[in-house]
Amino acid sequence: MIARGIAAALLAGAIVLYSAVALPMRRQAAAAADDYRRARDEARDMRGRLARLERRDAAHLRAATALAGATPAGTVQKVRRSVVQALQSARVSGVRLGVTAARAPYAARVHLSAVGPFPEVVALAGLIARPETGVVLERVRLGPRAEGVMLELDGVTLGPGQ
Amino acid sequence: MRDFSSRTRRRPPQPVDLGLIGVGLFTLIFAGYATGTSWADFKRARQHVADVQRDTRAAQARLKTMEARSAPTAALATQALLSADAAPPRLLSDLAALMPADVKLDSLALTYGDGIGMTILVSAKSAGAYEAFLQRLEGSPLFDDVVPGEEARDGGVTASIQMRYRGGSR
Repeated sequence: MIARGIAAALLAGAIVLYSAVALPMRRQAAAAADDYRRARDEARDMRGRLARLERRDAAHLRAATALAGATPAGTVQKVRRSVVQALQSARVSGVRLGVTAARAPYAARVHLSAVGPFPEVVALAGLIARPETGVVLERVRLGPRAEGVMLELDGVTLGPGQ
Repeated sequence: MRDFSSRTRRRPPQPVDLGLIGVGLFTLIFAGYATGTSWADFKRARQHVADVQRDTRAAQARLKTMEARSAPTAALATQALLSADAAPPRLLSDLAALMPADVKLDSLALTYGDGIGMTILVSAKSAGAYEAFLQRLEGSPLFDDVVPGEEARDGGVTASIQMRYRGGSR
């Protein structure tokens, strides 16, 4: 009889322990795991936004420092040189290039038009948009011409400190 | 010497009683183990939450600082990023990947700013090819705000489409 009483007490203790402590604890652990997943997703989102801002600031810094220290005339010359350099490796014709000094927050404005085969004019636009040139694209237009495709590109360079 | 008294004698525990005690003991051990593991899981999850929240707070503070610092030049900075990250070759490559063989790009105009606005003029050999191109554009995560413009149907289709490119900001 005593043995059965002990067995019953052990069983009752186990049931009480499991239902009063283990089960609520398990529910809390599941809730905490949900919290963790939410917090992890939020952190991932935050890191993504931070990375994008960092890339944005880095691109801005590159564009603003590509021509750092240059005078307005020097900036125009430097921008013109980098665009002309890009033009030298492109098989295009009918080139019209204008580089002028611009008011803050810009340092210079670039207008370029050229005609050539589609891959050439597209590659040229890509070359001019490279961060090293300091040119930030504003407008790009591609349209058909008898000799191929006409590229019209407007860009700016950012002044130092912008 | 024989015991002739009427006092009840304690019986030695039967195997079934020992079995019941064993079951009770096993159940108690199981309940204890379940409690222990649940507690450990809970503590671990709380620790992870605390770690992630600490990182998030640090990132949030950094984000605020960066946003405040670059607020006046944010538009220019975004334009500089898009100009470098989504230059015409990349953008055209993404667009070409969505174009059916029967659809041809006639002209393209891009405007860089807070985002990249695009206006394209396309000609398609058949209305079906044009519809397929529109559907692909609308379903693509790289392009949004796709607005079909005027279209001329004369056997084939010539139409303009306005949209925004999202590839550079991903």
